[in-house]
Amino acid sequence: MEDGQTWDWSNDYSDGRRPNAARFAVFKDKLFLYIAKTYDDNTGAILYQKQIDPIATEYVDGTRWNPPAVQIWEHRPNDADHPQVIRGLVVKVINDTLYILLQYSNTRDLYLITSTDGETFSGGATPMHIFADKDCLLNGDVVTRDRDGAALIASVTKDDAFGGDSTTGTCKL
Amino acid sequence: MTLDPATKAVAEVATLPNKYKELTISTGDVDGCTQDAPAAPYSTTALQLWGIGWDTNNVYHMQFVFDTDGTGGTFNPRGRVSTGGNASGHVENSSRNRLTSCIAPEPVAETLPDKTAVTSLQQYARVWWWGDTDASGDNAHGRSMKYRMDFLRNLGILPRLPLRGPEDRVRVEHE
Repeated sequence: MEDGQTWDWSNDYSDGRRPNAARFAVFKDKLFLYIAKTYDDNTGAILYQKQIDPIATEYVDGTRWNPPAVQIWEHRPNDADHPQVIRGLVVKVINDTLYILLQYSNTRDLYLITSTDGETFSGGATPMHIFADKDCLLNGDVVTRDRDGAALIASVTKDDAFGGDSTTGTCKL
Repeated sequence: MTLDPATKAVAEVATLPNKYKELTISTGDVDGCTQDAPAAPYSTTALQLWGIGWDTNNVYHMQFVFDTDGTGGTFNPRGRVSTGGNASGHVENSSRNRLTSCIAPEPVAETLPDKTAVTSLQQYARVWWWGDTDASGDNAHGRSMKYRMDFLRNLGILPRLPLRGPEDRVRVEHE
């Protein structure tokens, strides 16, 4: 985007599946946008990937753009009384692997999805961790472990896994 | 929390000493904020944190340095610093996803002592949030801050090692 330019991605919230989290990542020399959306009627969650740069001119119309979305994952427990949208989302790249950490609302469980090519994704979301408290992923980055130089994904959490009204503002690293 | 992708080990590292509406983190050192300077000015074990304070609209900055195992560490003893940036009053204690950050390099042209022209990299952190007003006083506009971070100096081609791949073609010094 040039300075002062804005792009309208209204198609992504007018299709009835509302976005509730979005993250960028550069992977394999491409810029991707990851969009977590509610499934129809609050029955679950869907995670999409869109390639933003380079973007084919056929997907740009003035200041509007709508590149095709690749569905990475869906989760549909069908419990509208306790909707499980993707509340926590962290997307990071380490070497040749893309790591997607996600956490559904109203849960303590942390899941991981990986990809080595940005086109195919690991067979499902793998359980990684269960938070002891009501912590929910906020943001993350890659840090180096001093002992051996290994790359780690560091994240911060807020205690709002069960809804914003229940948070006390306690945040953890 | 840290996740080791190789072993899938997860460690819950620390609880922040204050409460926040929102937090974001980026790896690296902010200019003038290094604990060990000048002995170790560059550290990928350092983490910068920005947060919108609980029950306030202030945007704060903190630093955390991991221990050698990446499972613990210490917050910078200077504590947290109010950046002077105000978030919109519409950012509630219950909000999330109203603040984010990213680090990216900008190329810097340099001339080595042997007159070779090289391009080094100056890292910058950008922090964006839902702000209170813009320069015109209009309410609830996006705001951002820019921090100068590590400088990665290109020292040119290695004089002795054979060239095998991109990783061998230049030496980089962190500043």
